[in-house]
Amino acid sequence: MAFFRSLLQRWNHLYRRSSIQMILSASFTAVAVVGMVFLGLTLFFRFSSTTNTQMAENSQRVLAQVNLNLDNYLRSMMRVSDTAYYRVIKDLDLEQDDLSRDLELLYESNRDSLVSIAVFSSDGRLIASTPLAGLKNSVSPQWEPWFLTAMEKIENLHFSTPHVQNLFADPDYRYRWVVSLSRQVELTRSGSIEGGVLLVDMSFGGIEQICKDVNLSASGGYLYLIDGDGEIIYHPRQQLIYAGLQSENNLTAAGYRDGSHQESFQGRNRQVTVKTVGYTGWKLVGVVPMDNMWDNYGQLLLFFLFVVLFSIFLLVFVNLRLSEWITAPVKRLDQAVKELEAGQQEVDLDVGGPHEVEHLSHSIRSMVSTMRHLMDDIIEQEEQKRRSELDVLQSQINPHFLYNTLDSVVWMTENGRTQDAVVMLTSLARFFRISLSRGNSMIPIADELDHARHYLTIQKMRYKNKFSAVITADPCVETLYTLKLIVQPILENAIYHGMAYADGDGEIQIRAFREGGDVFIEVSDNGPGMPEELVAQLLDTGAPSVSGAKGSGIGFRNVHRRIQLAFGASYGLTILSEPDAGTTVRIHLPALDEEAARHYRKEGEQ
Amino acid sequence: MKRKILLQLVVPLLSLCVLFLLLAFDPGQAHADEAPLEVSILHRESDSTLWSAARQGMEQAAADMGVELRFLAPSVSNQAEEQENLLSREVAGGTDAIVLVPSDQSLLAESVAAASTQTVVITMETEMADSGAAAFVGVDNVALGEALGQAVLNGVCVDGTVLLLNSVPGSNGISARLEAAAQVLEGAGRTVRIGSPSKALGLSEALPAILAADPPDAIIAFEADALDLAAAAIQGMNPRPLLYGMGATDTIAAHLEQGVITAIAAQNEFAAGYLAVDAAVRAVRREAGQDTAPLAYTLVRKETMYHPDNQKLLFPVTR
Repeated sequence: MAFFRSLLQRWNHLYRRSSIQMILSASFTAVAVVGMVFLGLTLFFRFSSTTNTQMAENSQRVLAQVNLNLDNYLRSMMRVSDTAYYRVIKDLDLEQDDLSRDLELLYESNRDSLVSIAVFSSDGRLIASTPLAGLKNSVSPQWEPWFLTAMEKIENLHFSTPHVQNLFADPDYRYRWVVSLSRQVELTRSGSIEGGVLLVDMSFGGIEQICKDVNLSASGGYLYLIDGDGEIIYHPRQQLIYAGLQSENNLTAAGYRDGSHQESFQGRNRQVTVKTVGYTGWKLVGVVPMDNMWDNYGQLLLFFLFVVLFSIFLLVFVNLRLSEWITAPVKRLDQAVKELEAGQQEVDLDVGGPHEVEHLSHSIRSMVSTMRHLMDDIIEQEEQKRRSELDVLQSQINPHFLYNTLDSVVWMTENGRTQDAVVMLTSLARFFRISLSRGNSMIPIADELDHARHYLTIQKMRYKNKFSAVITADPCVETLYTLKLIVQPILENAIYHGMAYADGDGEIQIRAFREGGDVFIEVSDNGPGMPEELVAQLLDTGAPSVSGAKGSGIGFRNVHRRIQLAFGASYGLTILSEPDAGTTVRIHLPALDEEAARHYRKEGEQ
Repeated sequence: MKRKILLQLVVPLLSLCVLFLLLAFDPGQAHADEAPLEVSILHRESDSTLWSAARQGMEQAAADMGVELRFLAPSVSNQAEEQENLLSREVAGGTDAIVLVPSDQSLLAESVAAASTQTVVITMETEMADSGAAAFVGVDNVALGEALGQAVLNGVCVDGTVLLLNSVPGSNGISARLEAAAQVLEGAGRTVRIGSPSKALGLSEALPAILAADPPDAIIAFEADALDLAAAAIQGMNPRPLLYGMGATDTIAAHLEQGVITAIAAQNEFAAGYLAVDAAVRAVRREAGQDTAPLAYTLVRKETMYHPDNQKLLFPVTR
C-alpha cells in the first residue's frame, strides 16, 4: 500500500514538473504504443494460430495424398494376391498343374514391388514359390506369424510388419526386408479342396518410395508409417532408430486418432498429424517440429519488433511535433503573461494557435486592457484627489491672512496712517496677485520670494517693525519653479511664534539656494525656538494639533503636505529648532525649470 | 532544421536502419555457407563389403551433420605401413578429421600422435587414446574376447583344443580380444592354439593347412573377414569344428543360419560408423560428447538370429 502511495506521489510530482508538451507527447505515445503492441500481438498470435492451422491442414493434405498412394500400392499388392488366388490357384489342380509358372509370370509383371510369391499347404509345406524355389532347411513356415495369422482369420488379407525374409535358400546370401501379405487359400488337389496359405512378400522399397521425400514443412517435418500396434514400418531414419541412436514416439502415436495433435517428445514440441491407411490399420504419422517453426517465427518476431520500433519512432516524432504545435501558443501566452507580470508594457499577446488558445489570448488581452484603463482611472482619480486636497489646503491660507491684513488697514486708516495703509494695501494687492498667479500652482521662486517680501512688508507694518527680514537667493535659483505659497505660512509661524514678542531685534532670514537637483529655501528666525518634542509633533499629520498662543501648526503641516503631495515623500519641510536658539525651517524642493514645472501644473493651468 | 528535430529524427532513424540491416542479414545463411567438414575414413580392410554397414552409418551421419567423407582403404588389408602413408597424406591434405581403423597400434602410434597435433583422429576397433586419438568408437575388446571364450567353453570339453585366429597380426583390438579369450579358455582347461597368417601366405591360404595339421574342436575368429574365411574353410570338414566369431555380414549370417557358425558376437556396425563420424564432428567443433561409451555387442546363435532385435542388428535396413 505504501509502495503504491509512494508511486502515486512520484507520479504526481512528475506530472507537476512536466510540461504540457511532454505530458501530451508521453500520453499520445503511450496510448498509441499500447494499442499498437496489443494490435500487433493480436495479429501475431492470430497469424501463429492461422499458420498452425494451415500447417495442420497442409500435413493432413500431404498425408491424404500419401495415404492415397499407399492405399493404391497396397491395393495393387492385394490385387496381385487376388490374381494369384483367383486366376491361378483357384483355376489349377495341384495334382495336375504346376503353379510355379503362372506365379512366376505374375511375379515378373510386378517384380519391382515384389520379393517373392509362395503358396504353402496348411501344414506349411511349400507348394510353389517364385523367384526362389527352395526353402531353407531350418525354416518352419507353419510357425511364422504371417502363416498363423492367415490361418486364424481366413476371410482377411493380412499385412505383416517389416521383417527379414528368411524362407528361401538364396545362393547369394541375400537377406531382404519385406512386408508379407498373407491369406488363407483353398487349394484344389485331385478335385478336392484343401487349405493353404498364399504369401506375397512386398518389397520394402515400394513403401519407401511412396513415403520418402515427402515434404511436410520447410522446418524439418517428416513422415513415418506404423502398424496398429505402433511398430515402425517405415521411418526416414529407421536404421538409426533400430541402432538405438534415435527414438520415435511411435507407440504413443499408435493411440492417436486421425487428425492433428500436439505432443512433447524428448523435450521438443511437435505437431503430429495422423492418418489411418484404410484396410491395413496402419497409420501414417506426419511430424512437424514446433521448435523449428518458432525459429521461423523468431525471424517474424524480429520483423514485427522492427515494425513496432519504427512505428514508435514515427509516433514519438509525430507526437512531439503535434504536441509542440498544440502547446507552442500556450507557451507563448505563458511567456507573454510572465512579461506582463514583470511590468513590461508592450507585450504581444497575439499568439495564434487553436481556437481555444486564441480565445484565451484575446481574453487576456482584453483583461489587460481593462486593467490598464482601470489603473489609469485610479491614477487620474488619485491625481484629482491630490489636487483637490491641495486646493483645499491652499484655500485655508488666504482668508485668515486677508482678515488680519484688512483689520490692520482698517486700524491704520482709523488712526490716520493713510500712507501706511496705502503701502500695506499695495503690498496686499501684489501679495494676492502673486497668490492668484493666474491660477497657476507652480510659480518662479523669484515670485514666491517676492510674495514673501510683500507679506513681510505687511507684517512688519502690523508688528511695528519689531523684526527685520533679509531675503537672499542664488541667482540661478530665482528662475526655477516652486509650488506657490509655501514660504508665507513658514514666515507666518516665524512671526507669530518668534517675532511677536521681539523688541525690534527680531531677525528673519530667507535664503534660497540650490544643491544639485534640489532647491532649498531656508527660513530662519532668532525667536525663542521650540523643544524637540514640539518640533517632532509639528510635521506629524497623525499627531494632534499643537496648542500655542497663536496657531496650531496647521500652516507647517499644510505646506509639508502640499509639497509631498506634489513632489513625493522625499521632499517637504525640515525644522531645526532648539529652545532659545531660534528656528530654521528648511523647505526641500526639486529643482524644476519651466518645462519641468509644467508637468506639475493642474489641468487648465497655463 | 533545428538541432532538436535533428536529434529526434535522425538518430532514431539511423538506429532503425542499423536494426533493419541486422534483420536483413540472415545469420543462418553465414552458417549455411560454411564449407562442409572433411572427414577421411581409413579402414584396415581392403574389401569394403566387410564394413558396408558401418559405411552406411557414416554416410548417414555425414548427411545429418553436413560432412564430406573420403573413404580410403589400403590395397592390401592390415598393412600398417600403407595406413601410415595414407594417414600422413590426409593430414597433409588438410582434412578436418580422420576416422582410423588401425591395423597395428604400435606401428601407427607415432603417426597417430603426429596427426593428432594437426587434426582430429578418431579410432575404431582399437583404442589409441595414448597416442592422442580424440575418441574411440567400438566394443570393449577384452570383454568381447572373454564373452567369446565363455561361449566356447560350453561347446568344448576340458582339454579340448581351441584355435584362435590371429588374423590381424600386431598390436590392436583384435589381438586384445584374442588374448582375453585365450586367458578365459586356458583358465578353464582348454588348449589354445593361435593361428596366424604367415608373411608369405595370407589367412585364407594358411588356414586350410592349419586346420588340416591339427583339427581343433573349436575356432574363434575375432573379426568378420577371418570369420568368413574360417566358415568357408570348415564347411567341408568332418567332423566340423565349432566356429565362433565376431562379425555380422550377410555371408556370416547365412553361415550362422546353416549351422557352420555356432555363434557370433555382433555389434551394430551402422551405429559404430555413425558414432565415429559424430565423435569426429564433435571433436572438430569442440562440442561436448566426443567420448562414447563402449558399444554393446550381442551373442547371436542360429536359434535367435531372427529375433526382431537381432534382425535389426544383423540386417540393417539399407536402401
